[in-house]
Amino acid sequence: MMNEQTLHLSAAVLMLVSFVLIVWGLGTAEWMWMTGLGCAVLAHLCALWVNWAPGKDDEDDGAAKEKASSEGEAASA
Amino acid sequence: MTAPRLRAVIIILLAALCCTLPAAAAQQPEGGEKAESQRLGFYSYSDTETGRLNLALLPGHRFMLVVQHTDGGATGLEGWSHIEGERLFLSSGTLDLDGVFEGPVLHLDYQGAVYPLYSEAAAAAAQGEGGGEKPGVTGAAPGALPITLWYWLAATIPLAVLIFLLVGLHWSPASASAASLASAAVIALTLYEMPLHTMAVATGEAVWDAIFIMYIVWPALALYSVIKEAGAFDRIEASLQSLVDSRLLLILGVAWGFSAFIQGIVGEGVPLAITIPLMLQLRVKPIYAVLLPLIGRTWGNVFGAMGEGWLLIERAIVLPEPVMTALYSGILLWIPDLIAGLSIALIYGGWKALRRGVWAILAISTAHSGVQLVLAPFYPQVAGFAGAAAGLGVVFLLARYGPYAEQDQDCPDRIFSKKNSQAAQEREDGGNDESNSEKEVKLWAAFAPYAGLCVLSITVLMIPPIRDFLSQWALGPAFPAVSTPLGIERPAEPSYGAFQVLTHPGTLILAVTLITCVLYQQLGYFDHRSGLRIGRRAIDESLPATTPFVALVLAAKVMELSGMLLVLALGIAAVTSPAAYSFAAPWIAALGAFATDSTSGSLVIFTPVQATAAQALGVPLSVIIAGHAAGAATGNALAALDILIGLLVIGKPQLLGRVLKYTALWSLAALTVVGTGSFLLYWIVT
Repeated sequence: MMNEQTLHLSAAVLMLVSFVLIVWGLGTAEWMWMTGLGCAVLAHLCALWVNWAPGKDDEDDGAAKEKASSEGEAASA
Repeated sequence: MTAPRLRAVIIILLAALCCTLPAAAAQQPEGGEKAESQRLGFYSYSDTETGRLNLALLPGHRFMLVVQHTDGGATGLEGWSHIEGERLFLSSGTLDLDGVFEGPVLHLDYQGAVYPLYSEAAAAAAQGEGGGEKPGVTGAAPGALPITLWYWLAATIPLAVLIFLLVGLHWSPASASAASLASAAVIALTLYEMPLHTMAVATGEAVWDAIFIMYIVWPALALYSVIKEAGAFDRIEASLQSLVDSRLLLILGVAWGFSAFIQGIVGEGVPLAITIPLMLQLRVKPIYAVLLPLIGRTWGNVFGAMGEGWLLIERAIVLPEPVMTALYSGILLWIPDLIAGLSIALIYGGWKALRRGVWAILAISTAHSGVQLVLAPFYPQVAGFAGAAAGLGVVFLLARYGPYAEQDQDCPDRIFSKKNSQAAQEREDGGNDESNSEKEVKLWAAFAPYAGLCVLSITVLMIPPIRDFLSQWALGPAFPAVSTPLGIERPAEPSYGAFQVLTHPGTLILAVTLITCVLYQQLGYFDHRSGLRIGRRAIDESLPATTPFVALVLAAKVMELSGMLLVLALGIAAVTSPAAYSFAAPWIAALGAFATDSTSGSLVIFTPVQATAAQALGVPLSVIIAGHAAGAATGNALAALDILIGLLVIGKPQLLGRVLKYTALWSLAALTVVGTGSFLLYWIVT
């Protein structure tokens, strides 16, 4: 199983690949920009997968709530 | 709905997107000629009551306008008009382009196809059938964009999804932006019939834009880390607090004054990337450290950054009264400026702080917006900068003289971190020995990066010969012209979003970061291992934000190129009366700023739309454009991308939803007042 950083890196690389294929392919070959578009979709799926790890959003949310409660305590104090 | 279920909705949306791609591919026009003949480079809106026809030409097209004089027989007037971001108003009697042409415009010849624009029979029919109807906005050409409730509601979905997931469900920016993008793509490819080719162009442009957003984030993150690593922030904090005794004035000075000062020089998220770390160092809680500068710099979004926003307006349309429009814009921009100052005081310490700070706020606001108002009609490029500089001057004067020269009688800790406040107190009480044990950063060295950035930016961006010389090295990919069957057309971009290597804000911050590294190394505050660690941190922290950045920019691009943004704006224009439109114009502009994540995006895309609607409804253009400018500036507080840049610099991207919730509330309040101001201007002018 790839770790989070590798997945983020993969998503970024896929984005760059999609950019190259699209820019290159728009003037030349249809298959090229179509592949680029596919790479972009894959990159977003990849990024979504990382954030989709069980409890990932909940963790962020939990951290935010924890912070909010500590802020609330601070305000009441 | 629980989070897993909503995640399932995203899967379905993405699956629908994947299913739609082959279907959309099958929808590609078979014959190029047929598609070409349906492409239009203009929108026309007819007013059935007056028979007046308004025509908005998209930038970058060549048109042949055939105009026939009525007073001199059928002599006709014919010629090419090269339109570069300008707009022509046509009526049955006058072609209003600097008052050059007179007579009915018979037809428009565009790319070899002739589109009739006026005929006496059609005008008579319109007078007979719909003469008593309310003026409306109608598509008057083949392939025109459908302005219907269904299309309008569909266009709001991506924005609603983003807000709901971020603010309502506290999703991470990555998940929420992906969901918003997926919904935008599905709607664009199906309902708005966006071809895959156009989607590919949107994707390419979005990645290019995102690269240069990251190019600002990386150096800003590195600069923040270098200053922090060297311990210079403690020195900055101490000296700022000794310079400005009143903590309320200090917060106003940094969040409102300094952020606007940076905005006066350079935009694109840089003011936030620079100011937020300072706020954090003043022990402000992260959420307020982002929120306060975000609303504090909104007023400078039009005439700041070398008057970039204003220049975009002038490039988008021909302003019949540029001086009055700039003047009205200055008046309306005063509103978000004043509201920002009052809001910061209110957030800082409630009504008590507001009462204490009101005179300072009035003085600073007068300097900000008063100077901007005076200079805007004549020197729009420097109006924002001069206003912000005057505001900072007033802050320092207030810090030296008068009631704000003393410490606040009470220091509310609502926006301050308790933990950090205790640490600061401990340091003040007995921590001096401890801090002296390390090499203390000299005062000039602590401020050197900020001073250096200001000097470098002013030199590079505000001195025309230097700016022009350095701007000649630019690089941008070429993108072909795009169009949709619904009549949306964008001309080819020979050099899209040209990256001006030596004048880009990212380059300026990078240069200052490298100079700071060398300086601090020479002074012994910093070693090369720290540099490596900082570089690693910059990459580690910004990498996860790459795809959310692309997703946010791409969603905006998809909405723009599919015509969703135009439908949103034209839909509002279609159902309002002239007076109501003067109130609605700032809201439309703010919607554009939210959807495109920038004031510039709103000004580029919506200025021609607002001008056309104003002409169709008979509302003074100067009032509507002023309302548009103020609305776009105010709506920038909703730009998720800018907020994310600020949050990323301090490593708190997960706070995006919470910040957005507060800025949404602030924007609603500010836009109500700006809209009312715009309406009052309309009432006075007419």
